[in-house]
Amino acid sequence: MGITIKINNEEYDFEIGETILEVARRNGIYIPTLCNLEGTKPTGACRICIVELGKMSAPVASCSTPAAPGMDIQTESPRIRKARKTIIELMMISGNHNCSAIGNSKANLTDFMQEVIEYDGSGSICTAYGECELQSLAYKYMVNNRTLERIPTNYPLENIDPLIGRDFSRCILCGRCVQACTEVSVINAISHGYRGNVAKIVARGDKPLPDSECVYCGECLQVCPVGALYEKRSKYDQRVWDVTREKSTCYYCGIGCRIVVSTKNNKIIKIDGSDEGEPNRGQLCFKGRFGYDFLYNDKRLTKPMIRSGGKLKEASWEEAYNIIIDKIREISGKYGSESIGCVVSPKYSNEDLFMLKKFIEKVSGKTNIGHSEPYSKFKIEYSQIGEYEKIVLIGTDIARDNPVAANYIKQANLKGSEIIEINRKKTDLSKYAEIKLKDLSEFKPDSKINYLVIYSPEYDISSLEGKSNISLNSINSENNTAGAYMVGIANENFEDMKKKKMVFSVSSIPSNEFNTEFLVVIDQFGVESFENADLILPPSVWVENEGTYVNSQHKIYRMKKIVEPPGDTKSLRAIFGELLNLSGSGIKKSTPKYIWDEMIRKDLNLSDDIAYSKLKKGPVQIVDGFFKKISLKSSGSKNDRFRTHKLLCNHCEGLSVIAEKRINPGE
Amino acid sequence: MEEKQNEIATKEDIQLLDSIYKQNRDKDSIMIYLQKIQSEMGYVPQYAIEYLAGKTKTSESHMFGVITFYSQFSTKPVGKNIIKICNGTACHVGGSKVLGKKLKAMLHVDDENPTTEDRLFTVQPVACLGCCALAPAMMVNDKVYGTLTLEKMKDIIDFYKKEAENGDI
Repeated sequence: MGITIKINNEEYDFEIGETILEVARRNGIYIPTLCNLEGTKPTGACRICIVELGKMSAPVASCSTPAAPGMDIQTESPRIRKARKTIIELMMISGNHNCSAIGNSKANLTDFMQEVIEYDGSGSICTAYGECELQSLAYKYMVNNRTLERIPTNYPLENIDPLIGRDFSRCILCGRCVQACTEVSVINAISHGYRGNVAKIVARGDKPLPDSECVYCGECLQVCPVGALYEKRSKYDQRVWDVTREKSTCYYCGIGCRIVVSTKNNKIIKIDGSDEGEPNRGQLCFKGRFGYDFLYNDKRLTKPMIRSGGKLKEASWEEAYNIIIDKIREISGKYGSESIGCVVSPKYSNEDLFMLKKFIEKVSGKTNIGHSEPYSKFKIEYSQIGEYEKIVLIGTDIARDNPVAANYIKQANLKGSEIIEINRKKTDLSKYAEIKLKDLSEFKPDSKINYLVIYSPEYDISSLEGKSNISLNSINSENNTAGAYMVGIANENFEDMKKKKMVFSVSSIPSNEFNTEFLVVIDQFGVESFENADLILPPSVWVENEGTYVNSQHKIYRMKKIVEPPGDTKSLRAIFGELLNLSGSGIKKSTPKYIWDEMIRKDLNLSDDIAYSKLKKGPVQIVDGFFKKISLKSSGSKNDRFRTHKLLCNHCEGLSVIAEKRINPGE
Repeated sequence: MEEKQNEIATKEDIQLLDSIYKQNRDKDSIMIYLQKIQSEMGYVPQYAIEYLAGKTKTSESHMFGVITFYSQFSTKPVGKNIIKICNGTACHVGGSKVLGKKLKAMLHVDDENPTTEDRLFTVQPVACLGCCALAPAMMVNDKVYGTLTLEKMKDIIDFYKKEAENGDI
């Protein structure tokens, strides 16, 4: 038996260094918290977690008081309940907490609501209603203030930013956003400012967010316990009872962050990081959090477009299929079937990519299909980054390319890991780097120290290979690059491919870069960058389809269909399944389960352990040896990397300005 | 992004910041730097915040938080003479509230803009000067004036005005 403390008359073991709150939580004892943010240093700001140490002692904040042997703690004594009630009352009287106006007998509801409308421009009940931690505590402790006067708000609503709204009237100054900004994403854009009853969360000299160092990771939005920080696009539209929440995976880079997608009326209205654990542990970057409404862009195509009379005109799928089949016949008759090719951006599921590959193989007689992504692998869990004393970044601007990985690096740096940066250019992480080198040849690793190397896949790191103390890792720029390699689509020289006579372009390469006789573009958006296309097919993407994906750690995971695809859009697997059938292959079904179990797994000799139904439980690691069967060229052209990210973000409302600044074009 | 407040750092300003930084580097505390900057420059300008943030790897917003927490720092230029008017219990009972109002009216300043246009005075309310026996009291720079009346206050202000005219300060 180790050292123990008594909580609510029961003895519990604890370890030195644990706080009272941690011991209680571990044992399922409820203590309310507001300012506490897991994974960061406790601040003890809100005092709601106070507990009784004994009648002779003042209550202590359990989040920041270490457990000590012999403590006798009461978590819900009458004195504590009364104190908590007062704390909540004090938080409630300052600000527009219009969920509770009736609870305050002194407030005149009409006057109060009038004030709220003047401040907020809307008389709606607070946007966090139903999810607000303060509100639920007010219910729990039966707050019905009868004595305290309302305190007016000092600072006006900050509505200038396109993505994040700041409502100072609903801020309780718990400081969770500051902790998220300084200890989770380590951007340090916001801080506590001023003092006493004029205290405020400030960004860079008390300026609006757009004028600060903010990079729009939105970590603060996610941790705000009340309605003070909200996503502007869905303000008053995210009532918890109207919203359906589903877990899914981010559409952007190879980390494959787990996300919670909130939908309402078949439309995504909000995305949060899912705190179920690896890889992202609740964190997200600006792309993952705000980059979803390209799905609802006006320019999104919902019908096939066919060139007739020099202009692209809407058509039916049947017409489009017929033209494709005719053209394939014509061109392979004229130039041979190998003059048909395909370029693809690995943003589609394994099933989509497999069907596409099958079709191209069928019509061109060869695997005339490629993407531009280099082969990468991230060998460790992202949370293990902090275990390395030395982190070496080679040629990568990771804070822009894979921001969540950069979060882990900066967190490790806060805890004492040293960052060595090898890069000719200045990057966002340069200011954290203890050692900055221009070239890899200057880097002399010590054979006694373990290094974690994260490199840009374009960089030649062969001089570091084969050393047991150096772990070499890189991250893909697209979400299913590893999956593309897995189903047999490798890195190809795009320049050769662009000159083929008939090209299927499933990427975001502008059509004027092609030199073809017949160009089929498969892309969500239209006509602007693909004006030379002869035919455009509108695909359904991401959460509009079910499917499996492989992330940079080579974990395979299954994604649900969350929203219905718009208009006449079709998934890639459906499009190419139908085209395959039209060109004479008997494809029985094109459901993801059938393609995965009966086609991909059979093709690649994958075991039953990763049967489609088993993937439902969670991601499965793919063994290393498997990828060796495929030739792995890694001569990626950097110009093409992150091109789709930019295109997608530029089609998101409010995000384009940030995307322009924050997505590395790879110059 | 690069929007600066109206003041722009001159070469001399940067030299001054450099020397302050070099002299106090061993102490490794942003408080020390800020105190030096406040006393040398009379306030902490935006460019000084940017300069220090870069040198000390502290974020600008954190620096701003520190500056606005302590009343010894100011982000706006302050006057040559700083008048601290005591709001402590004894002074409050002695009528400091009225005196403070009159003083502000006399100098045409308010809480938002506590500095006179000629930058001769800045009025700062303080919680207690620690000389309750002299209530109501105020402090001009390092000198305490006790048992204030309206007349006495006028005389004190006139004295400092005259001093400035004669170029004594």
